[in-house]
Amino acid sequence: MVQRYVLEKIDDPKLRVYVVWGPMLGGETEEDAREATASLADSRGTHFWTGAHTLAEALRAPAGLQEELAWDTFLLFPPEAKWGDVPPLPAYVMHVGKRLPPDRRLNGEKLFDQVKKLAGAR
Amino acid sequence: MTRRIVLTGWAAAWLLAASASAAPQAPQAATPVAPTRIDGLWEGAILYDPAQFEMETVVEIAYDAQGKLVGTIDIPSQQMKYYSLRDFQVDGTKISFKFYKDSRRRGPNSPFLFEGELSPDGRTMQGMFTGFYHEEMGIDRVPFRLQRVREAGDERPAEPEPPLHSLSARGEELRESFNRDVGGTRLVMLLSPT
Repeated sequence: MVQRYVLEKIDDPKLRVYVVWGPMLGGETEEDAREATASLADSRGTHFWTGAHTLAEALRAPAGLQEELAWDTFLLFPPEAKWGDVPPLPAYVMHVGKRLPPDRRLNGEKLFDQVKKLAGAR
Repeated sequence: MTRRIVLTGWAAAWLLAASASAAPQAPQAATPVAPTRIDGLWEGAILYDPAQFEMETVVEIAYDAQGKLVGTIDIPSQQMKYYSLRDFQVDGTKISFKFYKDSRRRGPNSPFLFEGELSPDGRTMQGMFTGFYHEEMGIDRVPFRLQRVREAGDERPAEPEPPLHSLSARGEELRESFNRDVGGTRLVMLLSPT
């Protein structure tokens, strides 16, 4: 739905989406990830596979999580954000099933609004 | 790890719901078709929670040599591809059909039922789907909406295969991409592929 709710509706050529596929549940494989890439085929998207939780740990604090890893999270960064030794703070976070505010639960229309706001602010 | 029936970890399934559903989406052509014509290639979604959790669904229905309706269904989030549809019923604009699948909640070979109605222009079918149990919501009966996008038997567009990059242990490649793309809005998603 990121494809349909966001990428198909926002034609900003500078918009980028990075999908990090990984072992959130424990048994996922790189082949699973290869199949899943078809779900987001926009030229502005880049797909990564990791067999580790390193990034999910590194993005835990920026996502506002305390103990949970940042799997099933969606972090939106403004154009000026740079990733130094640690990831920058996102402008907006959405999640699925995390101990985060329920109004931040993943929603395609809200995500569209937030991306539009940031992309349009440039 | 599987989300086939229990539907835990919903984000990848959410991501997979990439075709027509609750959001307005223009069909390929506006040419009306007969409202009672159920044959064709239909795309849409089962709408557990519109804009939040939708299951992408593709249904292909055709007539066999004996004039009997046959069909298949794809639900990628359930790892279902060309799964057989059965028990078609058409009564004017009212339609129903089923597939049968093992269900942890309802037992082996359980029916999964679509009951709906064709739109006056014959391009949309919508109604209720009864099947997969959503544990969080406590429901197994939710709306569905499909749009007729092609004729049955038409070649389907090839599925895109974007490249997949392996990350090193610390994920430096993501950081490099992120910084290379400074100046643009960036969305980072961490997901399970299953």
